[in-house]
Amino acid sequence: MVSRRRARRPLTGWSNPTGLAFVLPALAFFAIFIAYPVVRTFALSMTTSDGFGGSSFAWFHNYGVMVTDPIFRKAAVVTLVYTVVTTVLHTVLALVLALVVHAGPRRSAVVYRTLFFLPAAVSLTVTGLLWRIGLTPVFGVFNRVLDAVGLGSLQHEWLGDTATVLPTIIVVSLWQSTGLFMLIFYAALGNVDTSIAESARVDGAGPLREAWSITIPMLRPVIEVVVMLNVLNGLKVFDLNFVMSNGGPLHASESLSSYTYLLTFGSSTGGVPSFGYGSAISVVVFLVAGIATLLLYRFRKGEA
Amino acid sequence: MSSTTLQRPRAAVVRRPRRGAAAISRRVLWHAVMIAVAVGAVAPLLYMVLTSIRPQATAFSGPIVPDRLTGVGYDFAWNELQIWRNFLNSVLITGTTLVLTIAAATLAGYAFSRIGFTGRNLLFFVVTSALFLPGVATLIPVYLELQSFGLLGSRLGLILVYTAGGVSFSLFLMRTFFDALPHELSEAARIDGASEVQIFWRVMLPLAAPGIATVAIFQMINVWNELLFASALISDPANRPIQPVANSLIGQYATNWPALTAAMTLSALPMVVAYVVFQRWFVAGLTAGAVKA
Repeated sequence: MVSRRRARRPLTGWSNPTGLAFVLPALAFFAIFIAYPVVRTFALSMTTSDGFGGSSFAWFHNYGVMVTDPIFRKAAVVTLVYTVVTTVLHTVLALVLALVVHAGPRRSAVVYRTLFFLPAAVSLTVTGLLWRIGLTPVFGVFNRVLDAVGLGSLQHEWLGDTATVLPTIIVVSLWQSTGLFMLIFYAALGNVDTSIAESARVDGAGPLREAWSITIPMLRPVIEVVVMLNVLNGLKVFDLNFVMSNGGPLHASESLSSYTYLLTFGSSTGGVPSFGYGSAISVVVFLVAGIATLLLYRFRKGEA
Repeated sequence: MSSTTLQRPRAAVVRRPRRGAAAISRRVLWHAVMIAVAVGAVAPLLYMVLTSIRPQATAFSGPIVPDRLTGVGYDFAWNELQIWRNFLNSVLITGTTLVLTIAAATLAGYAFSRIGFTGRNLLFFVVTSALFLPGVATLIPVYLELQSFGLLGSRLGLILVYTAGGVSFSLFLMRTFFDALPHELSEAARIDGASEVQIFWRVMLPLAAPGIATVAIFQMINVWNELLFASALISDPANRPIQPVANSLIGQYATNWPALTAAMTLSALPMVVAYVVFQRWFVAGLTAGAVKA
């Protein structure tokens, strides 16, 4: 985004009230609902605020609490595992799918592409609810299908078991999001210069070799964007685990975002809302997302 | 004699069906793989629709494809649970957010692209850096902020927050589109004595229509499907958009699958239709975003 060419020097010069007036509405929204809240999150994270006026300055007390809080540690691990696994699987599956779709005749490809994307047009909320219903023990359609094809022994309370809840949520996220990333790769494949691939084919390269040695390297900038989108989406994961398992059982699917929500607005603990501690966790998510963005950005620039 | 001389050209013709046979079997295999993936993608959605139109009594044990269809689930969700209010709330919130975001992002995108002002690039970097910002990082202060404005629990409050959340990405896309437009037209208008506002309104805005369409479809899907802020900022069911309401229904009506899936289908349908209709702009936006980012 920095590579913009400045085609012509703006006529009205270097300091221009019209320009500022045009920018003002966007800037006002940004300042009031993004910039100020970010700063305030940092400030709140150093207080014991409960959101009802009870608040005192506590320096880094909340960050100290975090170190010994087993639920925070669990949520950090869940968030990290979710981020890494979904980033790898979304990217690889979507890329393979896009290459296969692209290899077919264009007209059919557009039809299939549309069908594959449909789950991504459905919200994560509805996705979570749908799979929650489908995975209901005994009566759920998933277990009934298993039973019908003679795999009844595999029936399981997928969302009620601390060992299977996170893998299940990850699989559901694959179902929902692979189509979106497939679409990004598919669109990029349309812009790839085909002449090199054709000359490789003339030289006897098979389709796998061609994809691995020519097409995928050419897609590299797009792959990097998809990885970055996935890392950022993973670090802030909330909807799916909130809807499907409410972070449970026993916080086995609690992410940093859902834990913050629980601390701030959740009544299930019955305790006093901890805006201060919740803000401290938000700051951690914010910093990790910021560092990840910088690292990925540096990586891209370094390789270019 | 003549048959042998004719052999050569024919050989090339004869080889085609053989290559064709291999190509056809490859094509069949390709379609088989595509259909298998398509079934995996679409079957759960089909199950949702089928469950929404079946009688409650057959939801747990009846055949997976219902033998009798009914609209009772929809009637219950729409009228008894008053999902219509939440559906309309979602339409109102999404529509207003779209208008505000497009207005703010188009004006600012044009200025960042074409009008100079002090600190332009730094400001652009700061505003678009919010693209990486996780929503949870602003949630608590935004909650307190709306509370002090007296907007907590209101649709207007959510609209303002959504607009701010969409401005970074929309601004980024709009600047990219304006950057790609030729300079000759605006220069010609400027020489003819048009003001900056006239150039923007009469010349550039009509040219930016595809960019606006892309911004609109992205923002529409994001806002309609948002859950975190909608759940946290509005607690009165009468004011809530449809996503958090669908989510809270499963607590109360856990076993009424037809009504639940009817509510889910109603909340999913507008975006599925929108995507199929506006696919072209969606794909264009993905390409622009992915290549330029």
